[in-house]
Amino acid sequence: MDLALVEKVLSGEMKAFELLIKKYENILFNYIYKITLSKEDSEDITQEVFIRAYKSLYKFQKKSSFSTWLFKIAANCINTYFKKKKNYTVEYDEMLTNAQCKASDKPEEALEITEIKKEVEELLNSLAVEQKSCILLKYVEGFSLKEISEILGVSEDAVKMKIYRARKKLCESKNTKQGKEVW
Amino acid sequence: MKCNENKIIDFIDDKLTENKAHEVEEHLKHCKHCKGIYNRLLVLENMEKGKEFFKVDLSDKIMASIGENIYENQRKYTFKEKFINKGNHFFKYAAVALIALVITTGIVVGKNGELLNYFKGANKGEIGAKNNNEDNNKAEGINIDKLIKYKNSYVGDNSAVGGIISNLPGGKFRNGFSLKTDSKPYGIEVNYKPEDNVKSSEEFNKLFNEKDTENILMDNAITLFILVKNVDEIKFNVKDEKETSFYVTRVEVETFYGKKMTEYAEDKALWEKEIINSKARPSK
Repeated sequence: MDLALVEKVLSGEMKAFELLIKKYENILFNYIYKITLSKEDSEDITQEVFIRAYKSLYKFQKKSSFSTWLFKIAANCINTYFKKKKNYTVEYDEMLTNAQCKASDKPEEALEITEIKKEVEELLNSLAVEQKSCILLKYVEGFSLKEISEILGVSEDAVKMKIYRARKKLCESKNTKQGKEVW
Repeated sequence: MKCNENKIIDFIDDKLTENKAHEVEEHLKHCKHCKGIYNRLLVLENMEKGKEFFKVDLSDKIMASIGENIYENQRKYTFKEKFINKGNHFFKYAAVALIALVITTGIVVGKNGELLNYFKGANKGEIGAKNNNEDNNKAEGINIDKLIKYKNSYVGDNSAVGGIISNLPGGKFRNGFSLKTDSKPYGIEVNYKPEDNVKSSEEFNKLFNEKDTENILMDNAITLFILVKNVDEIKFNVKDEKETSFYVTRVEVETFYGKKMTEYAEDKALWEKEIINSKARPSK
């Protein structure tokens, strides 16, 4: 479906690009937000990604999926963003209150899951941008290692290593809480 | 089993044998430290399920920022891209065959001693140049049918002016334009610049070469005077390694043609005859 829309855009049907925006804007925005932790900046970056994508759509080679290509542009925009904004500060509060528990969860367990989630998110936010991107692309967006390597422009082995190190960091978290049977 | 983080990671990744997996399972029942690690890794694995999701609606803003439909006239380009992207070597082979044919024919005819001069003679360059110019004009010419819908536009009509510029030669290199609408004389200023890549730069330099740039810009200005009824002056800035500016007023152009430019918008045949097909232009 994406490829058909891309073809339509390239043959002059601008409305088709609006459909691609509608399909991917939320996914991209949330991914970018998890990295920048700023809603305002994420909105700007998301817009920039789509504008760049439109202008260079004729270069899209269809070797990879459209979403991989779009995330690759996003990764470049995020890099540019961090280069421009060297002294950025991170605000965690908004980000970390997102644990959604099912109604069926027992209150005690729900609290425990919330705490663990908070701890994991804190750790994620302490990771380097590329490491964090790898984790988000794998666990949140569900991309394969090969796709992540394409998006970030690094080798598959480098992606594996970044994910491995991030997980090790999670294991070695200083604030190790003792576990209860919550899963 | 002793505490071992790697084994927990392998357990989650399902990389352990049944026996080893059972060992880890048993260990997790008793070791709160490892159970903590296990829980955190599991949260990571299940991030997608519990992920926070903001909803945004940026499509209108993005579409407005994009503005012009740059692929409106790109059917030809897409066709070419299709062939190149799919690794079809038709064009390459065709080019090689053509060159081979020209060389062979040149030699054969040369042996007969007749048409050799055609290839060697002084006229060769002129013939080639003329053909190239004709091709360029065809590819980058002014297409009245595409432009006529913009007739009787005003300087303040951003999208009409943008549409005209995009449909004129060099339109794809448009790099912003500004409109002076607060007081007379009303003006349009257009910047042309290649994209930041070799291909675009090459195309740009081919179009805006030393010989043709002034004619292209004059033709573009004339078209704008025909279609945008109240524009008084037009300025173009061609920006590559060096910047070239071109400025012309309606009075200069109308004095040259001896009539109001808007009259051409009402008479397509006259426009074609006196402007498109005529090589005479106001000189700068």
